[in-house]
Amino acid sequence: MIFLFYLLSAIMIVCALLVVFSRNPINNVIYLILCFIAMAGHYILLNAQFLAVVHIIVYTGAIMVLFLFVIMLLNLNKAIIFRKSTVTRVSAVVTGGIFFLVLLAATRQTFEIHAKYPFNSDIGLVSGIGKALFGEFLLPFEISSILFISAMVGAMMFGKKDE
Amino acid sequence: MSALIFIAIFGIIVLYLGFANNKAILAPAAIGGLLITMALSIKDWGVGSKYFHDMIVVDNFSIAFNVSMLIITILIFLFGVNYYKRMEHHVAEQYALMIFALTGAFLMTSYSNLIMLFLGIEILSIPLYILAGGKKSSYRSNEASFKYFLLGSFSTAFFLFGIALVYGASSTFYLPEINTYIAQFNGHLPPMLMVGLLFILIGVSFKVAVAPFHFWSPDVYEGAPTLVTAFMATVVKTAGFAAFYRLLGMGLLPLPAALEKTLWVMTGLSLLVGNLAALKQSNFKRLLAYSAIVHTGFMLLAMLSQHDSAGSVLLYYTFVYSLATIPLFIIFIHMKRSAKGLEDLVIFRGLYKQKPWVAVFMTILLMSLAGLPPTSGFMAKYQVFTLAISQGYIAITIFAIVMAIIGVYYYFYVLREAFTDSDEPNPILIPFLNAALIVVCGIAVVLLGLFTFTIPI
Amino acid sequence: MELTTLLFKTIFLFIILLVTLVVAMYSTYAERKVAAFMQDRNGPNRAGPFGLLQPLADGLKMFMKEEIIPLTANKYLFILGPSIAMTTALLTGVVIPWGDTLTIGDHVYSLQMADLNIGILYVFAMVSIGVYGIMIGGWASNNKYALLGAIRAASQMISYELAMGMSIIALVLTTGSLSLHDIVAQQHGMHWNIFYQPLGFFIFLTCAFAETNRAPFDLPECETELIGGYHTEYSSMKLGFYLFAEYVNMFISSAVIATLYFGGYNMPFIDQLGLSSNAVTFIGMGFFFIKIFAFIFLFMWIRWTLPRFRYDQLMNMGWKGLIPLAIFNILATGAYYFFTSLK
Repeated sequence: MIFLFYLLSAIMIVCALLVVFSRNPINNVIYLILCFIAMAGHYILLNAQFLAVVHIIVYTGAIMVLFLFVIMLLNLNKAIIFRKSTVTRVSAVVTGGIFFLVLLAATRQTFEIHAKYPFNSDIGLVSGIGKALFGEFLLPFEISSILFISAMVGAMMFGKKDE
Repeated sequence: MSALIFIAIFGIIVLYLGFANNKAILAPAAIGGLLITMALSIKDWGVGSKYFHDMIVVDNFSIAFNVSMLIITILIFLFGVNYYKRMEHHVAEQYALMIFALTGAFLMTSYSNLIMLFLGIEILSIPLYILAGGKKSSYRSNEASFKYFLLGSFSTAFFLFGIALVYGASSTFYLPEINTYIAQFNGHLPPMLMVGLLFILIGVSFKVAVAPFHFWSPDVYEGAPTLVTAFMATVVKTAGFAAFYRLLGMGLLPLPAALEKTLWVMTGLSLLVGNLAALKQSNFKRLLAYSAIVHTGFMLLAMLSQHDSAGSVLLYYTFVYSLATIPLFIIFIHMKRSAKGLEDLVIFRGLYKQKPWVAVFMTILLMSLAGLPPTSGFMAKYQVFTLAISQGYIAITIFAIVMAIIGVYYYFYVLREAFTDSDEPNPILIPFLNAALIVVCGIAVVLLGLFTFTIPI
Repeated sequence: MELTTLLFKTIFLFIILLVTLVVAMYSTYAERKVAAFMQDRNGPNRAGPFGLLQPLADGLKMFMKEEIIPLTANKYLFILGPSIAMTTALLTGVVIPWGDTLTIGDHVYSLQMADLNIGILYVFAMVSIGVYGIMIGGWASNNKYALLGAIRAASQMISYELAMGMSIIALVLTTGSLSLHDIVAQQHGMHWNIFYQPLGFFIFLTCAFAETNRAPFDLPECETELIGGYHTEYSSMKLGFYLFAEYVNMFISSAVIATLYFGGYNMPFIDQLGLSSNAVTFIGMGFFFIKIFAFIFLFMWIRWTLPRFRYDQLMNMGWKGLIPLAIFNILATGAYYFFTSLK
């Protein structure tokens, strides 16, 4: 299990880095897909089978396909390289570095916190998630339909040609 | 709660009214629905109850803010009657999206769980991204929509990350529980919680356009259709501050020292950045965007005071600010139409000559924004300053007063244009309904200044 | 896990793979024979008796052909495409319950590789990854026909996945479980889901045709417009992989349809025969394969009788026909269970 964890993490990190550094948009998308699949593997290690599969169906199977679709239609074979001024670059590096430090600080004490809340192996199974969604989180679950309907209305408005 | 359910369903009803192919019924129907919602909201006044596993808290605070937002939205819909007259397609969708956004705003005023806050912000934002791009043929509008969407999703990512970190530290989404969790540390928060709270703060700050998270607002205000800009400047700001206040003013009291310092800096920055940038604007919408950032600074000052009555002051402030802003946008759109689409400040030239009464009301409204007596804008600022001073924030208050005085310059710059004669006067047509709106809002701005209200929240 | 179980699972895995490949191989033969039958001609009859060795000859031919990778193609992705198509096609077989339990000595072995409690969704996930095989291959070829085919395939599969998922939701409402093992066990004794979810079955079947890119939904590769669609530039065994993946998909879809709606390995009156449990298992397995073959025949029958849809018809049917129908099906199923639970 530990070995799998490190393997999946290594794949994820390498793929995530490749997403950033690869110049070809199609390759970026493919590395991102690999990254997502490795993440699904992490879910399975946590016994969250439902989450793992839904993650694959939604992110890998639907969202990234659309991504790939758009990139193919736009025919972005070569990434457009934006030339940035030195000031922008330096400030971006400094900002990123500071952000990294902040996150490092944030996760410094995770081990203490981890000890306080024992792992619940049923949390990611379909029955557990179903009960949580239709019990405690019923209102957020239902109200998010408003979110989706407004997004759909938007898609219609932007997509439809005005005669 | 019944108000929330009703308005959520009502949005869909308005959407279906679009099938009737009759634009005339849309605005009255929408306004009727909002009035019903208002009645349903007021019915719960003083009851104070929690729903759905404490996800939603309906108390006087949320009801007061909801009613205030409903009134403002009704004003905007009245403005919409004429505004959408020339629009052929998707008028029902415009109203429906604004009602959906209002649903999100309702969640933002009454959440007690970070998940609900997240959903509220998203339900408010997504219709706005769409509305901002409402003019499909205009590049500016497209740019506004896209910019708002990209930066908005970026801030949402921060916000969600913050929620995740706070949950990781405290294992709860509920604000009261987070507060008890924070209380046990005596001010020395664990870094994970601290970073999480800061990220949440960033997410909410973005929505209300606090400096240094304000960069989107001038571009979006400028590019979006004017009615949508008015909606963003008023309802969204009100909802954002209600959410902000629930988070910091009610949820996490007493504020952890680091958060308080952050707020302090953001207050000062908003006042400074907004003012300095506003001085150089020649586009009216951009000017109002920067002026909105300055007003955000004043409202943050009220929040910073952590006084019990800060909620009531915020309500008063946002309400009178909205009342002054909407008619200004109405006047602006008519000037813009008479100037054939120009948005510069020069379009106001000759207003006094042609429509003196409009110029007079514009003076009152701008005075209110600038915070001059006897308008309600003055009373709002006055209340904020007294709150801040009473809680010992002397330095920042003095700074804010100086900034308020500087602000008078650019508001009066607009006025100067309005009272200057134009070289080539264009006829200015203001329909009756819009004229009535300007007059009513102008009078209300003065009356509210004479009779200030406080609401026991 | 015990050593014997591990051994059994390993052997069983190889058997599944082997059976899948052999069935897929002979599906090509069957397809040509069925086509010949429909068109009143003989079909392959030269290699071996009745042409039975034809698939082997075809396979050999595929291997021996020269392998061409176009100069302008993206080489890695060009190889990756068919690999993904084949892998995802084969991966689905592990959750299908091929039979009941088998008793060897005092051990009881389940004839299902993995009884995931989200089995249906696993199938669904694999199908959704399968799109990449076609998309990546089509794009990497650097050919406009291939790209068009890939894009058609992707949009078609995404559109029909929705209706498919919704028909499954209605099915899950009736079964109350996402595990394929439970779903089959529940259908014991002629309680086949086809009787409870007839509309869902038709939606699922239609979507299965679209997901496998079979006629009348074979627009991604429609020869008359796009030459070969996404595999225009492919040759040798890479082309073989694509063609083969289609038949594997057809086999697996037939197995999934039989499992979900036609009782899987259950057969009527099996309890009345009074056979030993192992015998029942084997007969059930045989019966399961009969169902699968029936569906494979249905796939071919439809291919050789129905003309291809036009692209807009395909999209209209998916979005305006099947999805509303599937939503209605969910509502009707939900209403039925709600009102029966009231009593």
